[in-house]
Amino acid sequence: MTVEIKNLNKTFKTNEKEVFSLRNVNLKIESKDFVCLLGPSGCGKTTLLRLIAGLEKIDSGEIIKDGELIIGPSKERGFVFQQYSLFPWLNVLDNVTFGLDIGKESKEENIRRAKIYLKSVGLENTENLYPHELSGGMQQRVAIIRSLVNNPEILLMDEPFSALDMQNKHKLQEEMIRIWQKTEKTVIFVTHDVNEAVFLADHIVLMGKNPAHIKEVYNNNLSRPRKRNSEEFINIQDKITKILEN
Amino acid sequence: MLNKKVLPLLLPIFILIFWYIFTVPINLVPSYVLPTPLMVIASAQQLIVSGKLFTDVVSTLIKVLLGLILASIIAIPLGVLLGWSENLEEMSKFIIGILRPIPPVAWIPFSILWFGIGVIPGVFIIFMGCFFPILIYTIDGIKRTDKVLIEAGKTLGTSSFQTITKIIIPSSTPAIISGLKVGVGIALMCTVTAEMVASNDGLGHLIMNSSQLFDTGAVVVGMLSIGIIGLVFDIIFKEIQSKIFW
Repeated sequence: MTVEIKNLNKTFKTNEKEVFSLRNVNLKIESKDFVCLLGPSGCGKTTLLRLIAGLEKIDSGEIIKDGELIIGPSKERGFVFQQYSLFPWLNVLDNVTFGLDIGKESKEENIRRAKIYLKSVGLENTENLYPHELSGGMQQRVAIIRSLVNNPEILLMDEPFSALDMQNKHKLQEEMIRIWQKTEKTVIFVTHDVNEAVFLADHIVLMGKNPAHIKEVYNNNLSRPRKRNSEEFINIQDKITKILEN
Repeated sequence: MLNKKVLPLLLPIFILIFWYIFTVPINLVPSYVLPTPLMVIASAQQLIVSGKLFTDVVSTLIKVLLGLILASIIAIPLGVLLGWSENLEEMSKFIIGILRPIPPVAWIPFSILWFGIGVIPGVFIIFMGCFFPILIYTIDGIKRTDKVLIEAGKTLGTSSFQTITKIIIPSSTPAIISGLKVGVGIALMCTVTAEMVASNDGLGHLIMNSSQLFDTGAVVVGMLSIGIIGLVFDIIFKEIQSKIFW
């Protein structure tokens, strides 16, 4: 599996309704990579992720996955949103099986699979709870599981932990690495948090704004498990911060 | 301390006492202007024993439910359609804008001309009365579906049709239930009004007929019956809402 972005241009609005544009973006993502898109607000990182998901239309250029143009959303590209996106009328189990249930498989098989995934993140006792009964961290865990159970080729994540407190954030980051290593998915993860990017990614795509563009792709070879207080970790963090501020 | 079970009963008891004092010992007004509580009880007893109250309540309820069900069958799917398609909503804006403010009772002349006297003109008036609130609430609910839920569905593999049936409609259910609740209130008012002019039974007919016979006790029995039916509907809807609102 590879994703290739070629000469991509796209005008977009941020939440504050400012207009920006992504200019001439080129990027290649290989199978099983953990890639972070890192940059300040207005650098187009979320827009780029949504374009790969097929949730936005490209102005010009192309995004190709395994030789095919991406033209719309698909379950082979799972998405975890920044906002809570669980279906509030379904309990945890039904949320997780949602993607499977709209397919052809039997309900029992779907439930069986969902339960294995829920157990893997310690949520086996929440099956019958509704989203509003869960903490933010638990909701995002369920959202990740809901995408994973669908067995997507790529998992696209848009600042999924940004609403969480530090402790929960670190815990979910560690869990994310564990899931990624076990499932061998390709992950594209958007963040504005340098620490998060250095902890998670093999390749950090550093982005800037005015116009929104890719500055460089930093290859993070830090061995795993990564220690946030190690000298190397802090050095890389400083280096990336400098490039971003430049 | 007064608890919440006793509190709502205080005011009715006070009113009952004042009513009794003014009409029985003081005898401020003649009984054909305002009946005494004892006359109301006697009328109620007589109407219950003869079975007339029961047939009138049933007759009113059947009309309310029939009108409500017919209106829902048409207004809910239509609301889904108009909420989903901006063009269709734009197309129907003008006609809805003109028809909606017409009070349902203004349809009485035509309901009699078209359907004569009996159950059907009542059902027609109720239909006209609760059609628009159900339609408007449904359109609103559909349009206010959280975009992130729709996108979450698409990245989990829903087709356009599944997006409507599995996400947009369930997420609009609270709004639709609110529309039905408003509809019931209007339906009850419409029925009684319609029964006063175009019916041979029902609580509206009971009130009108009794008033012509100066049987003010029976008038009060009819009024209270309507109030109690409304209250019961309200309790039922509150129960449903507490189950499905999240």
